[in-house]
Amino acid sequence: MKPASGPSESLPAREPAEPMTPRVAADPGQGAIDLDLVRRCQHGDALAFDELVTRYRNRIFGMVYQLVRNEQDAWDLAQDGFVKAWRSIDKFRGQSSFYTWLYRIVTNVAIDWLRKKQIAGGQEFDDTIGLADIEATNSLVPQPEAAPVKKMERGEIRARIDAAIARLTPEHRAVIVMKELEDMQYHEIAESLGCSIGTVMSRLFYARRKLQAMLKDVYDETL
Amino acid sequence: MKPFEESLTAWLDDRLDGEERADFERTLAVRPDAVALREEKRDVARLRALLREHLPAMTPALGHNADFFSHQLQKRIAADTRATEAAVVARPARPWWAVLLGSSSGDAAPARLLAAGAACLLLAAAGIYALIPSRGSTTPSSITASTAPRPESIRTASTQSRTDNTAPLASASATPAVPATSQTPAAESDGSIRMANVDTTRKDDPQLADIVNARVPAGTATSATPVHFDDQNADVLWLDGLEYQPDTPSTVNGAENPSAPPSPPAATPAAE
Repeated sequence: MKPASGPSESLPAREPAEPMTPRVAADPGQGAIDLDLVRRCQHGDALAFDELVTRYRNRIFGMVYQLVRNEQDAWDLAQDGFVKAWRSIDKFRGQSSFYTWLYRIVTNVAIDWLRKKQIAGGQEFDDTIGLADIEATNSLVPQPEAAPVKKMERGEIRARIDAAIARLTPEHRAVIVMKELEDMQYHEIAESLGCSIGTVMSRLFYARRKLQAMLKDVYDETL
Repeated sequence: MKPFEESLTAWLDDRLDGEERADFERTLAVRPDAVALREEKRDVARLRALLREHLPAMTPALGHNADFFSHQLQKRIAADTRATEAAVVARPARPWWAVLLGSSSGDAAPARLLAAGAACLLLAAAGIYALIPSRGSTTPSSITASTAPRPESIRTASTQSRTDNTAPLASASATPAVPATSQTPAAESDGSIRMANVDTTRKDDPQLADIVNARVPAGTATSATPVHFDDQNADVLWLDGLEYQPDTPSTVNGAENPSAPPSPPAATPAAE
């Protein structure tokens, strides 16, 4: 939990889950609007920044939630990311889209938080899943205690997915979210995470293998 | 990551273009795990479909809380801006000397620079000191009073012979007392040195007496008696601030000895 972030005490009740639209290709018109708003922000216009927040708050919150798997933490970390973006807005040079730049800031905030949480012993990530563990019958696969997979309801499937993603490392979780939820390109993910495209592909390769090991029985039965 | 794995990931994601895809398919065809990799491609496709079907629905939206999110964020940004401005205003201007020393705000960089400069000066001084030839390495043909380190044995003799600096050695000819370190030899015309300030009355100093008496015939130890010293006694001369001359008279039977070294002008301050 992010300490002293402010909003924790009065977070309203959660809205019913609504599907989050996967990211679509960046609209050039949107980019021009973003750039204009950024220029105004760089002259101290807080209202312009509020406009940018309004445009991206849902995406950012959803992305952070997929990383931290907790709404309250996602709320706090998303706010931290926006505050950090406001502080650094003068450094934005327009070499990438504002969303990519913002995404990178927020992702780093969330991953740093997850690492600290991991060091503090709050959570264990499954770094031990190797290539030999791809068999779906191994002990790492979360086994449902109730009905067979064929009869699983959607909630149960989602619980399995949620549990599997929660066992990934922050870096692997980030590339899965960016690729499968945000539908980002390799170079966009690399730019957001501050690493090479090869690193992105490597992380994606192994993250998928871990998920395959944990979810193979789910998609074999349901798809 | 190996290039094959990068190509494999791109192939699994259908990100290879036509030529790249054909190359990879050819590579794949000769691999023993080609069947497994094709099966993995199907697995990845099914995993992707599963995630894309369920992940968006698993992601909570801000919904009606979105305005509250923005409102809280505005408050945080306003507070952050106020804090930043207050920090700038509260920061007092520092005088030039404080900036130089880094003394008022914990900025120790200038002080560190000064310390580094002082350290460099010390090192340079130590290097120069080390490069000065030591006294023991000089040829003892002409020894002048110096501040070079003394051999320990001689230092002991000096301590024994001069336990009281306030009572300097008295001349046998009632030469006014001067500090021992200021004693100068009286150069004789034959190149020898007259021990003008040798205290022949201090018989209680065995080492000094032995040295002097070994060179001065008994009954001739007056202020006018030329005393010749060899290299062994050079240190004693040095202790007394005397000038050592080699034991070669500059005159032989009244004629100038060509083998005698010339007397350095600095060695004859008493001749003034």
